[in-house]
Amino acid sequence: MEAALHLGFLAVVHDPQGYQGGLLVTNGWGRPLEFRLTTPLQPTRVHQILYGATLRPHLFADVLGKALLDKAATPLSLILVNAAELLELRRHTAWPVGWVQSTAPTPEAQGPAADGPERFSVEVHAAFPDDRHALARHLESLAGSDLLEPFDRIREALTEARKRTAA
Amino acid sequence: MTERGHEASALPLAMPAIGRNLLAQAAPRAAVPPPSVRAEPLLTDAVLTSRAWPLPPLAVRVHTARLADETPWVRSWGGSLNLAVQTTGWTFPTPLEVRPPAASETAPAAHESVRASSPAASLTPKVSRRTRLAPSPDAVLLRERLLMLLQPPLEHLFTGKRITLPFEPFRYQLEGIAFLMPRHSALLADEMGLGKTMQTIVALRLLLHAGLVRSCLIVCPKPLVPNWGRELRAWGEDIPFEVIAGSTAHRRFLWTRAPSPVKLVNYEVLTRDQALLADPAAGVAFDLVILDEAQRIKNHGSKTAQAARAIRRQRSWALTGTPIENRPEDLINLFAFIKPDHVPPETPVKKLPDLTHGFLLRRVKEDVIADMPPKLVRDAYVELTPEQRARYELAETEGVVHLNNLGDTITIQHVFELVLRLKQICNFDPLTGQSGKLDQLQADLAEVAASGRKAILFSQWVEPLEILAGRLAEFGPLQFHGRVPSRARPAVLERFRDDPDCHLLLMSYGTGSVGLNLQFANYVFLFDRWWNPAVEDQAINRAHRIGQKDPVLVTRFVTPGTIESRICAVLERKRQLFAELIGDGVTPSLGMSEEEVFGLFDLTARPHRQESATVRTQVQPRPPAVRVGGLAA
Repeated sequence: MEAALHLGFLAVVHDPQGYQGGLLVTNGWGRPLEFRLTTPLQPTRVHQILYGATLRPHLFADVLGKALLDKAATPLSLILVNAAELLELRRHTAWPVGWVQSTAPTPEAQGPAADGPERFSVEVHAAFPDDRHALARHLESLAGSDLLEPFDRIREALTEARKRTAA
Repeated sequence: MTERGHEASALPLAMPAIGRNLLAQAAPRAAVPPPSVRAEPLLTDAVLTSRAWPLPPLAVRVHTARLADETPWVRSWGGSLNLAVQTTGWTFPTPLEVRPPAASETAPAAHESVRASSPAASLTPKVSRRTRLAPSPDAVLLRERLLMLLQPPLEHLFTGKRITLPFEPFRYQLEGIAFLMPRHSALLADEMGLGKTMQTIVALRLLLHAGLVRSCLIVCPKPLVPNWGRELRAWGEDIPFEVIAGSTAHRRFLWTRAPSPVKLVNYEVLTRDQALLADPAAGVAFDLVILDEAQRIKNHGSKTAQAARAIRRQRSWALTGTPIENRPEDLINLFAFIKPDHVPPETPVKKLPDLTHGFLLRRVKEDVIADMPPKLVRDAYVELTPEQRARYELAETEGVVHLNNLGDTITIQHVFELVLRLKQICNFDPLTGQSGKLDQLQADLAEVAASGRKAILFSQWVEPLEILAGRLAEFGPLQFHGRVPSRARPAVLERFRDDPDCHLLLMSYGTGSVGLNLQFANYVFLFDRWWNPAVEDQAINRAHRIGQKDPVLVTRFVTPGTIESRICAVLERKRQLFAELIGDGVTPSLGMSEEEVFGLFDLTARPHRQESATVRTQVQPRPPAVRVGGLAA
């Protein structure tokens, strides 16, 4: 019997409190199975100087993303992320990782007549080209789904968690 | 001078010393000989003269230069360079796993680009509109709030045939579903005809799929049980349900053993089985209980209300188009089931909106359906025939005399008897069978039939309906009232819908005013008036509801100068008063108080009572209990 499709949506958001990671695990219908979040992390000026250009990939993938995946209780079929830096997460996991990004034209370029459904693409880590086939196989069953929308849910959930923590 | 010279020479000496000391910080100290200092005598030929100047006293200032000859310090970074975070997480109930549709059935053309594109795969989502769930205002636990926030938009669940629906819901219906789903306490009070049943079934279905509800009880009036069955099959095709009915032993089995996640029961059976439901040992409990036509529990002390409140449950939803049917207490009593102890019994009217905010959703057709066909209501003032008028005047005069003769033994039932007798005369002359209303009705129905349309007619009694069925035979009338067996009623409705020769459906208010979908009819006749405009509204909305494509013309027959016109005037005054108090958001529809019923006649007699004369009890005549010259529906 084929294992159920479990999608991991992993996002890092940035606000004045710092960087915070969120992982939403859904079934093939998009229904939530698990949600995890990290504490916010605020790198200092020293971190910025010392890590330089490597700070964001390190922060996103090695710190926030890895911490979330290490604690995830639900086995995943694939991981979709909202930032290119999170593709480095692939080095910490055996599951295929894809970066979902909108390919919609800008509002200026779009014009009033181009009010169609949003388009997006999924990219994989260059060092793991086989992920493309693995992702395509899974995404076949998700045709018609909006793969960007779950990241909005993660953002709202992180905001809600922060509000409840501050209250 | 010597001292000056020393001072002058000492200054340059200080500079190398500083340099040395700085150097000493970087290298081992080297032995450096001290510089030689000599004092030379001053020789001159000049005559020395003395002059007295007020010279200031000489003073020597000595500066000590502190040598930085200690070892250099090294400052280490006080914080850790390691970046680390903690995580928190929640797992949620496992949703039902429904086999996803085969890819060949649903893959759109854009799907090809998934395979064709390289290195990126492209997908095209079908829907851009999003109806999201929000946590219930009384949800305290973060896990519970996150669970709702993390649910996918409703539209996404309906795409890709994941959850099939017979029709695409209207936007306001999706909002109604999103209102119900997160709430443990909810009152959906949409105006009749907006699809409360459908919204409830879809919300229930999604909760079942999400694993958030595993057992549900739906309670509705007995005539609506078949209707709920149809709606469940249409909007919740994958929801198994059972109707609780039959013998006591069989019902007990169904309550306690039946595996279906949804059970359907009517109010009478619910009341009958209250003891079983309240018995913890029986183990009957539900994740969700839904009361349809929830105005049935508006009287707090009634057995029906007690039985409903006794059901052990996690979530309580109530559906009604008339949350305030008679008085504000109706709403308070509804909340005694929906959210116990949240709205105290003596809550002032002005505080009700605050207390019910967030738990009550009401929309009217004009708000949500821009293209809803209009409902045109006209009062047809029909004169009694001369024979009717004579009979009426005699009956009223004699009746009033009789009531006054009763003195303080008079009761409200005595007044009712007279009211009902007079209303029946307004319908038909009991001796000749003449009827001014019937004459007008025949003319109207001729137009209806000529245009190929259909009409519904309501009366308070069965007897006039049966008379009308005989005298309006040319219009193919069908009857739907308490004398028609329940099992035969669906066939009546189907024939009325499908048979082009059937132009008229004769219904009683009691049987036909709630829950039925008759939007294929465009004319509604109220042959006589009910006591309560809310019941009339429900009757009218059998036709004026979603799916209606044409305007609905409502004709309310009123005979001038009779008890009918007086009752109408009282109810209209009260409707205006409540509209001012509560506003248009919750349309009140009011019955009549005991005082108002007595005020319909010029009576001097009043019942003897110990209480104050200002009785607040609302009067709801029960037709079966009052049989005066006619048959109750």
